[in-house]
Amino acid sequence: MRRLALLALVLCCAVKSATASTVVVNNSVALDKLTSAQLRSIFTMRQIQWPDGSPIYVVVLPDHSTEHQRFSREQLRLFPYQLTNIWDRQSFSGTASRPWQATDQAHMMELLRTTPGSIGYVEQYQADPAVKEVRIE
Amino acid sequence: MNKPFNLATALLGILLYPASVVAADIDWNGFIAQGLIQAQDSGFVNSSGDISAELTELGLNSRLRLAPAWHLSGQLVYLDGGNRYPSGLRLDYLFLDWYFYNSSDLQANLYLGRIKNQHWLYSSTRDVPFTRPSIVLPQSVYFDAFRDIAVGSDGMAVQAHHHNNFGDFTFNWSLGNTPVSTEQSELLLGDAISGKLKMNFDHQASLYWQPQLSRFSFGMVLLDSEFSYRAAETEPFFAADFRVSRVMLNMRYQLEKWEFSSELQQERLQIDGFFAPQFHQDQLGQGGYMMAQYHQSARLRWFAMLDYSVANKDDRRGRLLNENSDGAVPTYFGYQQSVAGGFSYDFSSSLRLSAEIHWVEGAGRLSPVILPDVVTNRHKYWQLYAAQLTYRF
Repeated sequence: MRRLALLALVLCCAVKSATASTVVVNNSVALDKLTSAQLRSIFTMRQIQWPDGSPIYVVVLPDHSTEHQRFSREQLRLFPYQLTNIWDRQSFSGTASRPWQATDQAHMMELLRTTPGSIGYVEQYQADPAVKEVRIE
Repeated sequence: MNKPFNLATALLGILLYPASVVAADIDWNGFIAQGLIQAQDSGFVNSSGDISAELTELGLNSRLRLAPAWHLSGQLVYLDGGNRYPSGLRLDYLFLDWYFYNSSDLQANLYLGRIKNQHWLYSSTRDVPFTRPSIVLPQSVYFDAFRDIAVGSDGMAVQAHHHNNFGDFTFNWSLGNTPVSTEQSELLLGDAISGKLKMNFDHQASLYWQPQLSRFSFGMVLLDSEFSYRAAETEPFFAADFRVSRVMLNMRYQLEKWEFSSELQQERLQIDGFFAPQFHQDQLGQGGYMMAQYHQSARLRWFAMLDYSVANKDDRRGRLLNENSDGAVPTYFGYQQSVAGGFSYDFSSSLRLSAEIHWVEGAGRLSPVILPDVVTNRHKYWQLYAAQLTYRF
Protein backbone atom coordinates (compact mmCIF):
# COMPACT_ATOMS: atom_id res chain seq x y z
CA MET A 1 0.00 0.00 0.00
CA ARG A 2 2.84 2.34 0.94
CA ARG A 3 4.53 1.52 -2.40
CA LEU A 4 1.35 2.34 -4.27
CA ALA A 5 1.07 5.69 -2.51
CA LEU A 6 4.71 6.46 -3.32
CA LEU A 7 4.15 5.53 -6.96
CA ALA A 8 1.08 7.78 -7.10
CA LEU A 9 3.11 10.65 -5.62
CA VAL A 10 5.94 10.16 -8.13
CA LEU A 11 3.45 10.00 -11.02
CA CYS A 12 1.69 13.07 -9.76
CA CYS A 13 4.96 15.03 -9.57
CA ALA A 14 5.99 13.77 -13.00
CA VAL A 15 2.70 14.91 -14.54
CA LYS A 16 3.01 18.28 -12.79
CA SER A 17 6.53 18.87 -14.02
CA ALA A 18 5.54 17.77 -17.51
CA THR A 19 2.69 20.26 -17.76
CA ALA A 20 3.83 23.23 -15.67
CA SER A 21 4.78 26.31 -17.67
CA THR A 22 8.30 27.66 -17.55
CA VAL A 23 8.71 31.40 -17.98
CA VAL A 24 11.45 32.09 -20.51
CA VAL A 25 13.14 35.33 -21.59
CA ASN A 26 15.61 36.29 -24.27
CA ASN A 27 19.18 36.24 -22.98
CA SER A 28 19.38 40.04 -23.24
CA VAL A 29 17.11 40.38 -20.20
CA ALA A 30 19.23 40.97 -17.10
CA LEU A 31 16.89 39.19 -14.68
CA ASP A 32 16.81 35.65 -13.29
CA LYS A 33 13.70 35.89 -11.15
CA LEU A 34 10.38 37.72 -10.99
CA THR A 35 7.62 37.86 -8.41
CA SER A 36 4.14 36.59 -9.34
CA ALA A 37 2.86 40.17 -9.13
CA GLN A 38 5.57 41.38 -11.54
CA LEU A 39 4.79 38.56 -13.94
CA ARG A 40 1.12 39.58 -13.87
CA SER A 41 2.03 43.24 -14.47
CA ILE A 42 4.09 42.23 -17.49
CA PHE A 43 1.53 39.87 -19.04
CA THR A 44 -1.32 42.34 -18.44
CA MET A 45 0.82 44.86 -20.37
CA ARG A 46 1.04 47.31 -17.47
CA GLN A 47 4.78 47.05 -17.11
CA ILE A 48 6.22 47.61 -20.57
CA GLN A 49 9.90 48.16 -19.76
CA TRP A 50 12.60 46.11 -18.08
CA PRO A 51 14.45 47.81 -15.19
CA ASP A 52 17.15 49.03 -17.65
CA GLY A 53 14.50 50.88 -19.68
CA SER A 54 14.47 48.54 -22.67
CA PRO A 55 11.07 47.51 -24.05
CA ILE A 56 9.39 44.28 -23.00
CA TYR A 57 7.97 42.14 -25.82
CA VAL A 58 5.36 39.75 -24.46
CA VAL A 59 4.75 36.59 -26.51
CA VAL A 60 1.74 34.34 -25.87
CA LEU A 61 0.13 31.29 -27.43
CA PRO A 62 -3.40 31.44 -28.89
CA ASP A 63 -6.21 31.94 -26.36
CA HIS A 64 -7.69 28.50 -27.03
CA SER A 65 -4.45 26.57 -26.54
CA THR A 66 -4.30 24.43 -23.42
CA GLU A 67 -0.77 25.70 -22.70
CA HIS A 68 -1.98 29.32 -22.66
CA GLN A 69 -4.97 28.47 -20.49
CA ARG A 70 -2.78 26.58 -18.02
CA PHE A 71 -0.23 29.41 -17.89
CA SER A 72 -2.95 31.99 -17.35
CA ARG A 73 -4.57 30.05 -14.49
CA GLU A 74 -1.46 28.71 -12.76
CA GLN A 75 1.15 31.44 -13.21
CA LEU A 76 -0.94 34.60 -13.56
CA ARG A 77 -3.87 33.41 -11.45
CA LEU A 78 -6.23 34.87 -14.02
CA PHE A 79 -8.91 33.06 -15.98
CA PRO A 80 -8.11 33.21 -19.69
CA TYR A 81 -11.21 35.30 -20.44
CA GLN A 82 -10.03 37.90 -17.89
CA LEU A 83 -6.68 38.20 -19.62
CA THR A 84 -8.32 38.51 -23.05
CA ASN A 85 -10.72 41.17 -21.72
CA ILE A 86 -7.81 43.18 -20.28
CA TRP A 87 -5.90 43.06 -23.59
CA ASP A 88 -8.98 43.97 -25.62
CA ARG A 89 -9.81 46.90 -23.39
CA GLN A 90 -6.26 48.22 -23.46
CA SER A 91 -5.71 47.80 -27.19
CA PHE A 92 -9.04 49.42 -28.09
CA SER A 93 -8.58 52.33 -25.69
CA GLY A 94 -5.04 52.94 -26.94
CA THR A 95 -3.30 52.36 -23.61
CA ALA A 96 -1.33 49.24 -24.59
CA SER A 97 -0.58 46.98 -27.51
CA ARG A 98 -1.71 43.37 -27.55
CA PRO A 99 1.05 40.84 -26.91
CA TRP A 100 2.60 39.06 -29.86
CA GLN A 101 0.89 35.78 -30.60
CA ALA A 102 2.95 32.72 -31.49
CA THR A 103 1.23 29.94 -33.39
CA ASP A 104 2.72 27.14 -31.29
CA GLN A 105 5.54 26.41 -28.85
CA ALA A 106 8.18 26.08 -31.59
CA HIS A 107 7.19 29.50 -32.95
CA MET A 108 7.20 30.88 -29.40
CA MET A 109 10.80 29.68 -28.91
CA GLU A 110 11.84 31.15 -32.26
CA LEU A 111 10.40 34.57 -31.31
CA LEU A 112 12.04 34.43 -27.88
CA ARG A 113 15.39 33.46 -29.40
CA THR A 114 15.41 36.26 -31.97
CA THR A 115 13.81 39.16 -30.07
CA PRO A 116 15.84 41.01 -27.43
CA GLY A 117 13.66 41.91 -24.44
CA SER A 118 11.08 39.20 -25.14
CA ILE A 119 9.31 37.08 -22.53
CA GLY A 120 7.07 34.04 -23.00
CA TYR A 121 6.39 30.61 -21.60
CA VAL A 122 6.88 27.02 -22.67
CA GLU A 123 6.06 23.61 -21.35
CA GLN A 124 8.84 21.02 -21.37
CA TYR A 125 11.56 23.64 -21.60
CA GLN A 126 14.80 22.50 -23.21
CA ALA A 127 17.92 24.53 -22.57
CA ASP A 128 18.76 26.95 -25.37
CA PRO A 129 21.77 29.30 -25.46
CA ALA A 130 19.71 32.25 -26.76
CA VAL A 131 17.07 32.13 -24.02
CA LYS A 132 16.95 31.50 -20.30
CA GLU A 133 14.49 30.39 -17.68
CA VAL A 134 13.19 32.92 -15.14
CA ARG A 135 12.30 31.76 -11.65
CA ILE A 136 8.92 32.92 -10.31
CA GLU A 137 8.79 33.61 -6.59
CA MET B 1 -16.29 65.43 -31.03
CA ASN B 2 -17.95 66.09 -34.37
CA LYS B 3 -15.13 67.98 -36.08
CA PRO B 4 -12.88 65.03 -36.68
CA PHE B 5 -11.58 65.52 -40.17
CA ASN B 6 -8.65 67.87 -39.66
CA LEU B 7 -7.52 65.93 -36.62
CA ALA B 8 -8.27 62.63 -38.34
CA THR B 9 -6.12 63.58 -41.29
CA ALA B 10 -3.28 64.43 -38.94
CA LEU B 11 -3.74 61.14 -37.14
CA LEU B 12 -3.70 59.09 -40.30
CA GLY B 13 -0.71 61.02 -41.62
CA ILE B 14 1.28 60.41 -38.47
CA LEU B 15 0.23 56.82 -38.01
CA LEU B 16 0.33 55.68 -41.64
CA TYR B 17 3.71 57.08 -42.61
CA PRO B 18 5.83 55.19 -40.13
CA ALA B 19 3.98 51.94 -40.81
CA SER B 20 6.24 51.09 -43.71
CA VAL B 21 9.33 52.21 -41.82
CA VAL B 22 8.91 50.62 -38.40
CA ALA B 23 6.33 47.92 -38.95
CA ALA B 24 7.37 46.09 -35.80
CA ASP B 25 6.57 49.09 -33.59
CA ILE B 26 3.10 49.83 -34.85
CA ASP B 27 -0.02 47.99 -33.85
CA TRP B 28 -3.34 48.01 -35.72
CA ASN B 29 -6.80 46.91 -34.64
CA GLY B 30 -10.29 47.38 -35.96
CA PHE B 31 -13.87 46.26 -35.80
CA ILE B 32 -17.01 46.30 -37.94
CA ALA B 33 -20.38 45.75 -36.28
CA GLN B 34 -23.84 45.88 -37.76
CA GLY B 35 -27.09 45.01 -36.11
CA LEU B 36 -30.83 45.37 -36.04
CA ILE B 37 -32.55 47.12 -33.17
CA GLN B 38 -36.12 47.89 -32.24
CA ALA B 39 -37.43 49.90 -29.32
CA GLN B 40 -41.19 49.50 -29.49
CA ASP B 41 -43.27 52.23 -27.86
CA SER B 42 -40.37 54.61 -27.26
CA GLY B 43 -38.10 57.01 -29.12
CA PHE B 44 -34.93 55.35 -27.84
CA VAL B 45 -33.81 54.44 -31.39
CA ASN B 46 -36.31 56.19 -33.70
CA SER B 47 -39.66 57.94 -33.56
CA SER B 48 -41.63 55.15 -35.25
CA GLY B 49 -40.59 52.25 -33.02
CA ASP B 50 -39.95 50.14 -36.14
CA ILE B 51 -37.04 47.74 -36.64
CA SER B 52 -33.96 49.75 -37.55
CA ALA B 53 -30.48 49.07 -38.88
CA GLU B 54 -29.19 52.06 -36.89
CA LEU B 55 -26.84 49.87 -34.92
CA THR B 56 -23.60 50.40 -36.78
CA GLU B 57 -20.17 50.66 -35.13
CA LEU B 58 -16.91 50.80 -37.08
CA GLY B 59 -13.51 51.49 -35.63
CA LEU B 60 -9.88 51.58 -36.65
CA ASN B 61 -7.08 52.25 -34.22
CA SER B 62 -3.34 52.30 -34.10
CA ARG B 63 -0.63 52.56 -31.48
CA LEU B 64 2.82 53.64 -32.50
CA ARG B 65 5.94 53.31 -30.39
CA LEU B 66 7.94 56.54 -30.75
CA ALA B 67 10.51 55.61 -28.09
CA PRO B 68 10.56 52.96 -25.36
CA ALA B 69 8.55 55.22 -23.02
CA TRP B 70 6.59 57.21 -25.63
CA HIS B 71 3.62 56.06 -27.70
CA LEU B 72 1.06 57.73 -29.93
CA SER B 73 -2.42 56.18 -29.98
CA GLY B 74 -5.44 57.08 -32.07
CA GLN B 75 -8.79 55.69 -33.06
CA LEU B 76 -11.41 56.72 -35.59
CA VAL B 77 -14.95 55.45 -35.16
CA TYR B 78 -18.10 55.69 -37.19
CA LEU B 79 -21.28 55.27 -35.15
CA ASP B 80 -24.93 55.19 -36.07
CA GLY B 81 -27.24 54.63 -33.12
CA GLY B 82 -30.38 56.44 -34.26
CA ASN B 83 -31.66 58.76 -31.52
CA ARG B 84 -29.20 57.34 -29.00
CA TYR B 85 -26.30 59.64 -29.93
CA PRO B 86 -25.21 61.80 -32.89
CA SER B 87 -24.27 59.63 -35.87
CA GLY B 88 -21.14 60.08 -37.95
CA LEU B 89 -17.38 59.78 -38.01
CA ARG B 90 -15.47 60.76 -34.88
CA LEU B 91 -11.92 61.01 -33.75
CA ASP B 92 -12.46 58.85 -30.70
CA TYR B 93 -9.03 59.39 -29.20
CA LEU B 94 -5.61 60.69 -30.17
CA PHE B 95 -3.06 61.05 -27.41
CA LEU B 96 0.58 60.93 -26.49
CA ASP B 97 1.31 58.29 -23.87
CA TRP B 98 4.37 58.85 -21.68
CA TYR B 99 5.28 55.89 -19.49
CA PHE B 100 7.05 58.06 -16.94
CA TYR B 101 7.59 55.73 -13.99
CA ASN B 102 8.69 52.11 -14.11
CA SER B 103 9.59 49.96 -11.12
CA SER B 104 8.81 46.44 -10.04
CA ASP B 105 5.76 47.50 -8.01
CA LEU B 106 4.69 50.84 -9.52
CA GLN B 107 4.07 51.86 -13.11
CA ALA B 108 2.63 55.20 -14.19
CA ASN B 109 1.57 56.84 -17.47
CA LEU B 110 0.71 60.37 -18.49
CA TYR B 111 -1.70 60.83 -21.40
CA LEU B 112 -1.98 64.11 -23.33
CA GLY B 113 -4.47 64.88 -26.09
CA ARG B 114 -7.94 63.51 -26.73
CA ILE B 115 -8.10 60.89 -24.00
CA LYS B 116 -10.55 58.13 -23.14
CA ASN B 117 -12.56 57.95 -19.95
CA GLN B 118 -10.73 55.18 -18.06
CA HIS B 119 -12.70 55.63 -14.86
CA TRP B 120 -15.81 53.46 -15.18
CA LEU B 121 -15.90 49.70 -15.69
CA TYR B 122 -16.78 49.86 -19.41
CA SER B 123 -16.30 53.55 -20.26
CA SER B 124 -13.04 53.30 -22.19
CA THR B 125 -14.40 50.87 -24.78
CA ARG B 126 -18.16 51.37 -24.63
CA ASP B 127 -18.31 51.51 -28.47
CA VAL B 128 -16.28 48.34 -28.99
CA PRO B 129 -18.83 45.53 -29.16
CA PHE B 130 -16.74 42.59 -27.91
CA THR B 131 -15.38 44.49 -24.90
CA ARG B 132 -18.77 45.29 -23.37
CA PRO B 133 -21.15 42.82 -21.76
CA SER B 134 -24.29 43.87 -23.67
CA ILE B 135 -25.17 45.66 -26.91
CA VAL B 136 -26.95 48.42 -24.99
CA LEU B 137 -25.15 49.18 -21.76
CA PRO B 138 -27.10 49.91 -18.55
CA GLN B 139 -28.48 53.40 -19.04
CA SER B 140 -28.35 54.29 -15.35
CA VAL B 141 -24.58 54.68 -15.69
CA TYR B 142 -23.87 54.62 -19.46
CA PHE B 143 -26.62 57.04 -20.51
CA ASP B 144 -26.38 57.11 -24.32
CA ALA B 145 -27.48 60.76 -24.57
CA PHE B 146 -24.28 61.65 -22.68
CA ARG B 147 -22.12 59.25 -24.73
CA ASP B 148 -20.07 61.87 -26.58
CA ILE B 149 -19.48 63.83 -23.39
CA ALA B 150 -18.72 60.85 -21.16
CA VAL B 151 -16.54 58.85 -23.52
CA GLY B 152 -13.47 61.06 -23.16
CA SER B 153 -12.20 64.59 -23.27
CA ASP B 154 -9.47 66.85 -24.61
CA GLY B 155 -6.93 67.27 -21.84
CA MET B 156 -4.64 65.15 -19.74
CA ALA B 157 -4.81 62.02 -17.60
CA VAL B 158 -2.59 60.02 -15.29
CA GLN B 159 -2.85 56.30 -14.63
CA ALA B 160 -0.80 54.47 -12.01
CA HIS B 161 -0.67 50.79 -11.04
CA HIS B 162 0.76 49.61 -7.76
CA HIS B 163 0.86 46.28 -6.00
CA ASN B 164 1.80 45.41 -2.45
CA ASN B 165 0.79 42.86 0.19
CA PHE B 166 -2.76 44.23 0.18
CA GLY B 167 -3.26 43.61 -3.54
CA ASP B 168 -3.32 45.53 -6.82
CA PHE B 169 -4.26 49.21 -6.95
CA THR B 170 -5.04 51.34 -10.01
CA PHE B 171 -5.41 55.11 -9.73
CA ASN B 172 -6.77 57.29 -12.55
CA TRP B 173 -7.03 61.06 -12.75
CA SER B 174 -8.14 63.19 -15.69
CA LEU B 175 -8.94 66.82 -16.48
CA GLY B 176 -10.25 68.17 -19.77
CA ASN B 177 -13.27 69.28 -21.70
CA THR B 178 -15.26 68.02 -24.66
CA PRO B 179 -16.50 69.98 -27.65
CA VAL B 180 -20.31 69.78 -27.67
CA SER B 181 -21.89 69.53 -31.13
CA THR B 182 -25.27 70.99 -32.05
CA GLU B 183 -26.75 67.47 -32.28
CA GLN B 184 -25.37 66.64 -28.85
CA SER B 185 -26.82 69.87 -27.41
CA GLU B 186 -30.24 69.00 -28.83
CA LEU B 187 -30.02 65.48 -27.38
CA LEU B 188 -29.46 66.94 -23.94
CA LEU B 189 -31.60 70.08 -24.00
CA GLY B 190 -34.18 69.46 -26.73
CA ASP B 191 -34.48 70.42 -30.39
CA ALA B 192 -36.24 73.73 -29.57
CA ILE B 193 -32.93 75.35 -28.59
CA SER B 194 -30.93 77.54 -30.93
CA GLY B 195 -28.15 78.66 -28.57
CA LYS B 196 -24.75 77.10 -27.91
CA LEU B 197 -23.86 74.62 -25.17
CA LYS B 198 -20.24 74.42 -24.06
CA MET B 199 -18.48 72.14 -21.60
CA ASN B 200 -16.18 74.15 -19.33
CA PHE B 201 -14.42 71.19 -17.72
CA ASP B 202 -14.65 67.53 -16.81
CA HIS B 203 -12.63 66.43 -13.80
CA GLN B 204 -12.55 62.78 -12.68
CA ALA B 205 -10.58 60.56 -10.34
CA SER B 206 -10.96 56.87 -9.60
CA LEU B 207 -9.33 54.20 -7.49
CA TYR B 208 -9.57 50.46 -8.03
CA TRP B 209 -8.46 47.77 -5.61
CA GLN B 210 -8.17 44.04 -6.14
CA PRO B 211 -7.23 42.36 -2.84
CA GLN B 212 -4.33 39.89 -3.02
CA LEU B 213 -5.42 36.60 -4.63
CA SER B 214 -9.04 37.70 -4.52
CA ARG B 215 -11.67 37.29 -7.20
CA PHE B 216 -13.24 40.57 -6.05
CA SER B 217 -12.32 44.04 -7.22
CA PHE B 218 -13.73 47.31 -5.93
CA GLY B 219 -13.69 50.81 -7.35
CA MET B 220 -14.68 54.35 -6.51
CA VAL B 221 -15.10 57.22 -8.97
CA LEU B 222 -15.56 60.96 -8.40
CA LEU B 223 -16.70 63.22 -11.23
CA ASP B 224 -17.26 66.96 -11.47
CA SER B 225 -18.20 68.76 -14.68
CA GLU B 226 -19.59 72.12 -15.69
CA PHE B 227 -21.42 73.36 -18.78
CA SER B 228 -22.57 76.80 -19.84
CA TYR B 229 -25.33 77.68 -22.27
CA ARG B 230 -25.30 80.84 -24.35
CA ALA B 231 -28.84 81.52 -25.48
CA ALA B 232 -29.70 82.94 -28.89
CA GLU B 233 -31.70 86.17 -28.95
CA THR B 234 -34.67 84.62 -30.71
CA GLU B 235 -35.33 81.64 -28.46
CA PRO B 236 -37.51 81.36 -25.36
CA PHE B 237 -34.61 80.07 -23.20
CA PHE B 238 -31.96 81.94 -21.23
CA ALA B 239 -28.24 81.77 -20.56
CA ALA B 240 -27.52 78.99 -18.07
CA ASP B 241 -24.92 77.10 -16.08
CA PHE B 242 -25.20 73.35 -15.55
CA ARG B 243 -23.08 71.48 -13.05
CA VAL B 244 -23.02 67.67 -12.89
CA SER B 245 -21.22 65.88 -10.04
CA ARG B 246 -21.15 62.13 -9.58
CA VAL B 247 -19.99 59.65 -6.98
CA MET B 248 -19.79 56.05 -8.16
CA LEU B 249 -18.99 52.77 -6.48
CA ASN B 250 -18.40 49.57 -8.38
CA MET B 251 -17.70 45.93 -7.68
CA ARG B 252 -16.74 42.94 -9.76
CA TYR B 253 -16.52 39.28 -8.79
CA GLN B 254 -15.04 36.96 -11.39
CA LEU B 255 -15.10 33.18 -11.31
CA GLU B 256 -14.26 30.67 -13.99
CA LYS B 257 -17.83 30.42 -15.28
CA TRP B 258 -19.57 33.29 -13.52
CA GLU B 259 -18.95 37.00 -13.48
CA PHE B 260 -20.90 39.52 -11.41
CA SER B 261 -20.56 43.28 -11.74
CA SER B 262 -22.33 46.30 -10.36
CA GLU B 263 -21.94 50.07 -10.53
CA LEU B 264 -23.92 52.48 -8.37
CA GLN B 265 -24.02 56.22 -8.87
CA GLN B 266 -25.40 59.31 -7.21
CA GLU B 267 -25.49 62.35 -9.45
CA ARG B 268 -26.09 65.96 -8.46
CA LEU B 269 -27.49 68.20 -11.19
CA GLN B 270 -27.51 71.94 -10.59
CA ILE B 271 -29.18 74.26 -13.10
CA ASP B 272 -28.98 78.05 -12.92
CA GLY B 273 -30.98 79.83 -15.61
CA PHE B 274 -32.24 78.30 -18.87
CA PHE B 275 -36.00 78.25 -18.11
CA ALA B 276 -35.85 81.76 -16.55
CA PRO B 277 -32.95 84.05 -15.59
CA GLN B 278 -33.48 83.38 -11.86
CA PHE B 279 -34.35 79.69 -12.20
CA HIS B 280 -32.40 77.42 -9.85
CA GLN B 281 -32.61 73.66 -9.47
CA ASP B 282 -30.44 71.41 -7.33
CA GLN B 283 -31.37 67.74 -7.26
CA LEU B 284 -29.78 64.38 -6.59
CA GLY B 285 -30.41 61.49 -8.92
CA GLN B 286 -29.46 57.89 -8.23
CA GLY B 287 -29.00 54.76 -10.23
CA GLY B 288 -27.14 51.55 -10.68
CA TYR B 289 -27.17 48.11 -12.18
CA MET B 290 -26.36 44.54 -11.28
CA MET B 291 -25.23 42.15 -13.95
CA ALA B 292 -24.53 38.43 -13.95
CA GLN B 293 -22.66 36.76 -16.80
CA TYR B 294 -22.34 33.03 -17.31
CA HIS B 295 -19.60 31.66 -19.57
CA GLN B 296 -21.24 28.42 -20.62
CA SER B 297 -18.27 27.62 -22.85
CA ALA B 298 -15.33 29.46 -24.38
CA ARG B 299 -17.70 30.53 -27.17
CA LEU B 300 -21.08 31.03 -25.51
CA ARG B 301 -21.86 33.62 -22.82
CA TRP B 302 -25.19 34.56 -21.25
CA PHE B 303 -26.07 37.65 -19.24
CA ALA B 304 -28.90 38.98 -17.11
CA MET B 305 -29.16 42.53 -15.82
CA LEU B 306 -31.25 44.74 -13.56
CA ASP B 307 -30.96 48.48 -14.12
CA TYR B 308 -32.53 51.34 -12.17
CA SER B 309 -32.27 55.12 -12.26
CA VAL B 310 -34.21 58.02 -10.88
CA ALA B 311 -33.70 61.69 -11.81
CA ASN B 312 -34.58 63.00 -8.34
CA LYS B 313 -34.11 60.75 -5.32
CA ASP B 314 -36.81 62.72 -3.47
CA ASP B 315 -39.29 62.08 -6.28
CA ARG B 316 -38.78 58.41 -7.14
CA ARG B 317 -42.11 58.00 -8.94
CA GLY B 318 -42.09 61.37 -10.75
CA ARG B 319 -45.09 62.94 -8.97
CA LEU B 320 -43.31 66.26 -8.32
CA LEU B 321 -42.07 66.34 -11.91
CA ASN B 322 -45.64 65.94 -13.10
CA GLU B 323 -47.00 68.60 -10.71
CA ASN B 324 -44.26 71.12 -11.44
CA SER B 325 -44.94 70.85 -15.18
CA ASP B 326 -48.70 71.31 -14.62
CA GLY B 327 -49.25 67.77 -15.83
CA ALA B 328 -47.36 68.25 -19.11
CA VAL B 329 -44.62 65.73 -18.23
CA PRO B 330 -45.97 62.29 -17.20
CA THR B 331 -44.75 60.78 -13.95
CA TYR B 332 -42.84 57.98 -15.74
CA PHE B 333 -40.27 60.52 -17.02
CA GLY B 334 -38.93 60.71 -13.47
CA TYR B 335 -37.40 57.24 -13.48
CA GLN B 336 -36.40 54.25 -15.62
CA GLN B 337 -35.96 50.64 -14.60
CA SER B 338 -35.39 47.56 -16.68
CA VAL B 339 -34.69 43.85 -16.78
CA ALA B 340 -32.54 42.55 -19.61
CA GLY B 341 -31.12 39.26 -20.81
CA GLY B 342 -29.12 38.05 -23.76
CA PHE B 343 -26.21 36.06 -25.11
CA SER B 344 -23.12 36.28 -27.27
CA TYR B 345 -21.68 33.50 -29.38
CA ASP B 346 -18.18 33.52 -30.88
CA PHE B 347 -18.07 31.70 -34.22
CA SER B 348 -14.32 32.34 -34.17
CA SER B 349 -11.93 34.64 -32.36
CA SER B 350 -12.90 37.34 -34.90
CA LEU B 351 -16.63 36.90 -35.35
CA ARG B 352 -19.31 37.32 -32.67
CA LEU B 353 -23.10 37.32 -32.69
CA SER B 354 -24.91 39.03 -29.81
CA ALA B 355 -28.63 39.34 -29.08
CA GLU B 356 -30.64 40.69 -26.17
CA ILE B 357 -34.02 41.86 -24.91
CA HIS B 358 -34.77 44.65 -22.43
CA TRP B 359 -38.12 45.12 -20.69
CA VAL B 360 -38.30 48.74 -19.55
CA GLU B 361 -40.58 50.83 -17.35
CA GLY B 362 -40.18 54.60 -17.44
CA ALA B 363 -38.65 57.19 -19.75
CA GLY B 364 -36.17 58.89 -17.43
CA ARG B 365 -33.21 57.87 -19.60
CA LEU B 366 -34.67 58.86 -22.95
CA SER B 367 -33.33 61.95 -24.68
CA PRO B 368 -33.71 64.87 -24.57
CA VAL B 369 -33.06 65.23 -20.87
CA ILE B 370 -33.98 68.79 -19.95
CA LEU B 371 -37.03 69.19 -22.21
CA PRO B 372 -38.53 65.67 -22.46
CA ASP B 373 -40.14 64.47 -25.68
CA VAL B 374 -43.58 63.60 -24.35
CA VAL B 375 -45.05 63.18 -27.85
CA THR B 376 -42.81 60.31 -29.00
CA ASN B 377 -42.39 58.67 -25.61
CA ARG B 378 -46.07 58.12 -24.87
CA HIS B 379 -45.70 54.75 -23.18
CA LYS B 380 -44.72 53.93 -19.63
CA TYR B 381 -43.67 50.38 -20.58
CA TRP B 382 -41.57 49.57 -23.62
CA GLN B 383 -39.28 46.84 -24.93
CA LEU B 384 -35.96 46.85 -26.69
CA TYR B 385 -34.73 44.06 -28.99
CA ALA B 386 -31.26 44.04 -30.49
CA ALA B 387 -29.01 41.65 -32.43
CA GLN B 388 -25.56 42.48 -33.70
CA LEU B 389 -22.83 40.77 -35.69
CA THR B 390 -19.27 41.92 -35.01
CA TYR B 391 -16.08 41.27 -36.93
CA ARG B 392 -12.73 42.30 -35.50
CA PHE B 393 -9.32 42.45 -37.08
